[in-house]
Amino acid sequence: MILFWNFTDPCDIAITEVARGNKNALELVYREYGRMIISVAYQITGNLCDAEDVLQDTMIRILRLSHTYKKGTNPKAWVLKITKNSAVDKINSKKHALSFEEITEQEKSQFAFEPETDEFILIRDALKVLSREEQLIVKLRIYADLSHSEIANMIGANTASVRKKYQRALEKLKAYCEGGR
Amino acid sequence: MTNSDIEKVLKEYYTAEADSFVLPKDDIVASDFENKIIAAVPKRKGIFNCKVVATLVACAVLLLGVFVGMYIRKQNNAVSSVVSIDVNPSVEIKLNKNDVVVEVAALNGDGQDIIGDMVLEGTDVESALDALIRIMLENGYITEFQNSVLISVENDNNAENQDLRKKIISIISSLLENENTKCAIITQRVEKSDAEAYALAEKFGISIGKAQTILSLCSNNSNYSAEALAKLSINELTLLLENANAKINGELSGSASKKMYITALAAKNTAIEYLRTAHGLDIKNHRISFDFDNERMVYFVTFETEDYEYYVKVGAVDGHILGFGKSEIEYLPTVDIKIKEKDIKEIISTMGIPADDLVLSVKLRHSEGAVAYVVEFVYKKLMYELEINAANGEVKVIKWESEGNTDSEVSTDHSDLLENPITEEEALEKAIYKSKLTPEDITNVGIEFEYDNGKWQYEIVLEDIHYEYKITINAENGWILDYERGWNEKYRKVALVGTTGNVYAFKMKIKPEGTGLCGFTEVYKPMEPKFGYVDGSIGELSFNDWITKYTEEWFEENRLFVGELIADGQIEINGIYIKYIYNSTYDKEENQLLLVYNQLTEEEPVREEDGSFYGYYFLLELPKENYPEEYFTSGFGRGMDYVPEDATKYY
Repeated sequence: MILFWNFTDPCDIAITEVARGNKNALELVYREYGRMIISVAYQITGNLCDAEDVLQDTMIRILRLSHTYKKGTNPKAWVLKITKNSAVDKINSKKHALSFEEITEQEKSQFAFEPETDEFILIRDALKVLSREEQLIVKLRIYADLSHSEIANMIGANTASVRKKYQRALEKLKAYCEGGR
Repeated sequence: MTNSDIEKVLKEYYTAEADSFVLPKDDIVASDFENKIIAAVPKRKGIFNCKVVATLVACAVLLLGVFVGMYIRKQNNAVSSVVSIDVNPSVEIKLNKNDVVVEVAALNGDGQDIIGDMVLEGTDVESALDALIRIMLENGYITEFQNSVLISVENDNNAENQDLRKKIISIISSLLENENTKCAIITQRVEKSDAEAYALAEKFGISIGKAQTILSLCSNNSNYSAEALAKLSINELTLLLENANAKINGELSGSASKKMYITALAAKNTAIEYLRTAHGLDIKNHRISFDFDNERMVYFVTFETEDYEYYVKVGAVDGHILGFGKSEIEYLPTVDIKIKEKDIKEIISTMGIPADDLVLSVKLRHSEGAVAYVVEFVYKKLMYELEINAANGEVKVIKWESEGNTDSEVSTDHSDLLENPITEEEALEKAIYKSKLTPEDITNVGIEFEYDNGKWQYEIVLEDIHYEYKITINAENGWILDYERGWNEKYRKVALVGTTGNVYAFKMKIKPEGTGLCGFTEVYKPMEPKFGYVDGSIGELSFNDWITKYTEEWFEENRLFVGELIADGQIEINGIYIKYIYNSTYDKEENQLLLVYNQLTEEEPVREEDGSFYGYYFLLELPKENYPEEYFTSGFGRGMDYVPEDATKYY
């Protein structure tokens, strides 16, 4: 029983509390998932400034959509799906204003994270070999710890292809890292 | 370096990256979120300012509501029902058990414009709805063109839900009556357990109420897709609901505005004008229906002439002709039908069959220049099919057979019909012997016991992956009456489906007249959007357009012909010599003829039953002297059917 409690994500309860009208519970969700949301949003939008907007938008959407959350399912997957939708909306809204090339040019100039150790620099360069989708899948699998089927549900692909893409991405990273040493 | 090493480093890297992000306002408290939500809502647009007086009135009502509401709010904050309002702005109001607003949220951008910086929390539902609907009216969201309001109520208690819906209808309709606006109001009950609707709402960013409406429309008409419907406005959805008479989980009052669209009369006139000028048709009787097709609101004008049923699709917004099609109507010749349906049983009785208890299936059909009833019934476990001439009552037995293998009750013992018949096993053994098949090769067996040509007989169908054998055996003495072998359609069709999945069937055909023409038919489903409208006025491509645009690449892709070159300009396919005129499409390296479209001549387009375009028949010229006369005498000569030798690779 104790083990069971350890496995339950506190946000599972928090989101259901939010749905019941307890807005203080949202703070817990923010503390637990804030960094992850911003990290995934950054991955999708490629821009820290947008990622912060997405974080705020995501929190608002959680508040609004909390009643759709099914208690006992993975709250992380639920939150990240909202994050992804919000980020895609953000990109779409920008597309109306700027052409795609302009956006990517702007985004390239704003890079947030500067790794210091050699190992991290290698990983950062290796990640650039991957396509944006592959990067997202790897981040969701490793950092957000989602299952393949949860990722598939989130990005709207089937589980088998996500698994395949993930494996291929790892192979690419491995090849790059081994080549670089 | 293993996968787990990489995963470990990646995890560390991502964690470090995430730590470098500074979370805005790390010491956030819940109240900040409420502020943010208000801050995130943009200010209302300027149109509103011109109606200052109305605003002041609304504000005054609200302010009063706010003060009253704030007092109540302290007492009870629990949400008991959720009401969502969709016009195009979507707003969601959460109510407590006293129907006092606990929370208001905009579900889309227009909804945010509507709410603006209004504070509705704490007011009762009447004031909140009054304010919201008024603002929608003033800002031109509810007009004489778009007059549909969708109200969805989520409350698990059945009676409360119903009461609240009634209350809302009366609030809105009395309000709109004062404003002299006619309005269609849909109220519906939302089930919290309706996971499908919630998934749809999440997927397309629409309200749960709209999602539920879309689902009920989709279940009513399989031509609709949820994705296409999600883009429609509430007014358009309401029109479709009205038109389809779809069942909703609630009520619909008033009628949705059609003022956006041309009238049915105008659509009819457009259709008539188009038919007269483009097709030389003059129509009198017609039916007209309003529908949603291919992401447009359209009128379908359908009418019949003596031989065909036609339809014209007219765009409901602009009155453009979007499509045209026709289908043949099978008319019965006008003869006196002297025999009535009720006489049929009597006629059957005269055949010595007690007809009173029989269940008959009767169809009136056109048969060989006369009108006949086709009557089917089961008597003594045998299936009878009779044709009774409707003019003179003449009876013709078409079929008389055991009911097939599907019905387990059918006896395989036919001794009551025939003295000492041979058994099914014996017949099957004979058939297999005749077909020279080994039992392992047989993929399918069908046995029927039937009365045909004055004899009781077994009709046995054996299949292997290449051929289908039909062997008819006399049930009295076991003689083989008939033996046929043909290509197994099942496998051949699959073999020719090819890579794109568009080939539907492919046949080579000898014209019965023996004109020296060999035709191959290829019928396939239209490839959207390739088979779209050329200029918007005609619903299909002309033959010339089609052949120049798609045939070459399509044939090349699908490699319909794989044959051996015999002499210059001639090719052999399965023992048949085909002369082709242009050898530029012949691939000498591969020894394959890829394309023979240059020699194709046009025939009537093939149509679906509903008149929609399907494909063309082609004719291919063959030199008559190069293959035996018998190929010219039958319809689909079995030797002419073409199966590529490497057919296995396609399936």
